[in-house]
Amino acid sequence: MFDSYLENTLEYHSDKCINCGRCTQVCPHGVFAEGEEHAELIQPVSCMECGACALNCPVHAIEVQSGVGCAWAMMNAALRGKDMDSGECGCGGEGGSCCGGNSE
Amino acid sequence: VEYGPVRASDLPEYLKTHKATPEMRTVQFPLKDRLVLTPVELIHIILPTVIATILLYFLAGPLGALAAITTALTGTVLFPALLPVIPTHDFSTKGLILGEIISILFAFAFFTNSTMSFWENALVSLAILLVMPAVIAYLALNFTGCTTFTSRTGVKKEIFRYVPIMALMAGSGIVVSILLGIIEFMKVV
Repeated sequence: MFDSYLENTLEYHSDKCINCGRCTQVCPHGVFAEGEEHAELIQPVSCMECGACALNCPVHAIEVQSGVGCAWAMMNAALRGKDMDSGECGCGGEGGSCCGGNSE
Repeated sequence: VEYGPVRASDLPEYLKTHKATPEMRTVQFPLKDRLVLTPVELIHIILPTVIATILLYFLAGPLGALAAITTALTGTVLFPALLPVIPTHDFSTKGLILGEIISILFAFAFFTNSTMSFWENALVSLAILLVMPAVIAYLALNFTGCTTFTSRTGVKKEIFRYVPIMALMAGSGIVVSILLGIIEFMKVV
């Protein structure tokens, strides 16, 4: 109840994982942890969809639709008749994207 | 390629050990960081706030002007400061809760300082209780862009869930205010 952040677009294919541990190094919220045979997805709810893990995974075992979770940018884009996901964060100046960016 | 710490302040330690601890890699969002960002939000809304303050000063007196300023400051400064302690997880519901608390104080202040009849006072209070929380919740929702943990999927869900409610609240509050204006106007005529 009153939690819109329980679901996100993070998808992890553990069968592809080569256990390099990169995702555990780059995730700013400890979503992945080191495991015996492959990385473990321990806190999927904490994912902020920054895209750092997917961008840095050498075998594309992680998929996420990354973007900035900024209501202002999304509503602004919607009001201008653009796609909500195309909204750029107006606060950060140039592009204003974070770890993974949404254009890659 | 080396993957170091998130904060620049951890760099000297990292350069010594060449190991970024899980603590160093995790993004925190302490009070100091939240407050540093509040001017961004405040500057975004400075013009509408000034207009609303002047307008409400002439329509409802000094308390009306104060309500406009308080709404802006609550949504952009007080909300980020209190973010982790306000109940519920969604920014919109947090904003509504904080907004209701602030607006109840204002409704009470109007009630006790008014020379109008009980019903007119009730209409003023109703307008305050509808508009102030809606605007504060909207400003609170806009703080998602400043935070270090909100996902785009979640924010989108919040927009679709709560923005219609905020619009309905603000809209009906304005209708109530107009109704009150008509009543007052009829009295003068």
